[in-house]
Amino acid sequence: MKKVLIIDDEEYFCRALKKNLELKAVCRALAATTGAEGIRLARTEKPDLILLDIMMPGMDGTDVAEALLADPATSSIPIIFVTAIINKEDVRRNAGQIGGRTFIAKPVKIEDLIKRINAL
Amino acid sequence: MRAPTRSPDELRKEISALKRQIGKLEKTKRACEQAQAGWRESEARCQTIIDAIPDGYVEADLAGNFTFINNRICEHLDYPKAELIGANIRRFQNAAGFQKTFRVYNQIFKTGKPCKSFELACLRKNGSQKIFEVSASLARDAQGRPVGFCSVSRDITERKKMERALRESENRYRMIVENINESVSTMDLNLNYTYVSPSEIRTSGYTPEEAMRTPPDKELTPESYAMALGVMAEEIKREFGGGPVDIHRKRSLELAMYKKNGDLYWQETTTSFLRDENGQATGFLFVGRDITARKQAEKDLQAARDQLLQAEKLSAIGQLSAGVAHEILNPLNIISLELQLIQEMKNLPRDVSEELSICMAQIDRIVAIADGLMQLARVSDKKMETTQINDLIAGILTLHKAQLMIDKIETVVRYQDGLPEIPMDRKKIEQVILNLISNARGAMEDRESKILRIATDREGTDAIRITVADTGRGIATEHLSKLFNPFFTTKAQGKGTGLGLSISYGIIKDHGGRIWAENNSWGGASFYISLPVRRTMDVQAP
Repeated sequence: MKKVLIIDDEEYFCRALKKNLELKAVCRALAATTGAEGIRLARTEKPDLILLDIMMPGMDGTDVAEALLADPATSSIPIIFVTAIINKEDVRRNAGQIGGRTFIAKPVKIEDLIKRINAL
Repeated sequence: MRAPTRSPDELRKEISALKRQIGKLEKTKRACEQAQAGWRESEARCQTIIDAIPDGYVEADLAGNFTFINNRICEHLDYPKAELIGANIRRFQNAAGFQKTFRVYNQIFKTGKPCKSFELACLRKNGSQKIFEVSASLARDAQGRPVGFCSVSRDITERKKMERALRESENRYRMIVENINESVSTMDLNLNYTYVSPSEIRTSGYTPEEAMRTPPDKELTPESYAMALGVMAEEIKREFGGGPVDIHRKRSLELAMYKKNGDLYWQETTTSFLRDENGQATGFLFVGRDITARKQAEKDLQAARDQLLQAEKLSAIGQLSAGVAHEILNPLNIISLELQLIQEMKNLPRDVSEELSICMAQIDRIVAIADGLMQLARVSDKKMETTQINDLIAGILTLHKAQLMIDKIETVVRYQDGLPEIPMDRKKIEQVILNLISNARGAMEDRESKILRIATDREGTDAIRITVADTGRGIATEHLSKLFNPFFTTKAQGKGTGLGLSISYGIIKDHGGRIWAENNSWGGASFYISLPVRRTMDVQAP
């Protein structure tokens, strides 16, 4: 079973997404509510995919992504940015690819996310 | 031989006859003496009169030598009498002047008829010139033979000088009036034109004669005519009301006027009273200056200010909105996920499932609004491609033909041929035009006549214009200025977010263009988009 790491400062979001993913039994989900905790979990748990929020207090999503890419232990883990700062229409029009990065716009439609995970 | 002797009687008779004769002779002598005294007196009186008259008097012989002059001639020519008597007229004239004099006097000599009034220029002792108005006639002796000329001359040097000054001044003013760009006209107090300057043709296309024949209510728009009449009535009342008035006062009006070809132009007209030498008003003076360019510049400046204000407002609102949207989307995201969790639960009652679907649909609505809000802040993220606007519109209409037919909307499209391709973000311009079409559809929903008119035009050399016009109810005047404000909508609750036009505004502004709306003659609204032709600097390779 695939392992997915959710990094988002919204605790309820982490919980709800985790529950949704586990309910559909597509993967095992882990969650971190800070960037630092997320990096630590990425190193120790070696997830198959990281779902990363961008706007977080302290270390934000782009900082976390840079740190993960800089570390050989985590550099190969695919990252999907899950964010409310990117327009849903832009994400749809660009098939989730903007500036070499993959995005999913909030609010997350579970079915869309599952398709992405299964495509890994 | 001795003389016959006379008798004493005879001698007495002879003596008394001689005495009578002597008496007669003495009487005659006295009469002669009296006559001589009278003649001398008369001659002295004549001389006095001749010297006293303000005009000069000259007698000359047939060769033009002065034989008699009065004192005035001495004053006129500034020579003593002794120097003038015997002098020839030629001495006091230049060659051209003398030629003229000769011609005139020769004519008098030949015809014998006097010459009533001619001008003669003479040089004074100091070299300065005097001009005389002269009347001359032939002088004859007792046998009627011509012996010379008598001339009466009046010094008109000052008058001539004044006439010349007046003529020059009149010429100067005429030249100014005829060459200035301002049009100058005058009217009598009954508002009939008495003068229109030739410069009128440059401002209105009317010749002065045409302008004088054209009644003012045909030259002015009804509003301007009413305003001008009001001001003139007010001024006439003030002028003749008996109260104290400032005779130098002026009134300035900005009037919308028609040219001969029917075009509208703006004139700033300054009006004051024309007055006679007693300061009494006799008519009106108008000095008009074409201020169409200034008016247009003011209008453009105001439009630019409005656009800037709108842009600033949108930018501020856009940023705020994007922040708000982000903050709303996060909790909404959680609600959405929680609802999706509940939806997945086993054995949910059917009505609960239905309610959940409604909740999810409402979340989609909120997301659509938030998306719009975020777009407000992000219009500059665009992908430019050179595009033929006619093709773009045709593409949109092909896709939406069916929908327009279902709505029973007749579509009238007029494409301007030969429009240049211009750089634009196709998707975004499409979004704007679609938004306008969608608004037009909405506006015509309950109308009997449903005609959607779309047109493209060239706007000078620098821009193209797209018009989307409907036959809806039009836009209330008080709404015209708010149309492009975010969240402004006249649609029913839930039918529109009030963001479409403000997003469109942002997109067009970002393309360096303009979007505006006016009510049209079909009772509906017309939206115009003006896009610049040249923005090659911004074009990115597709």
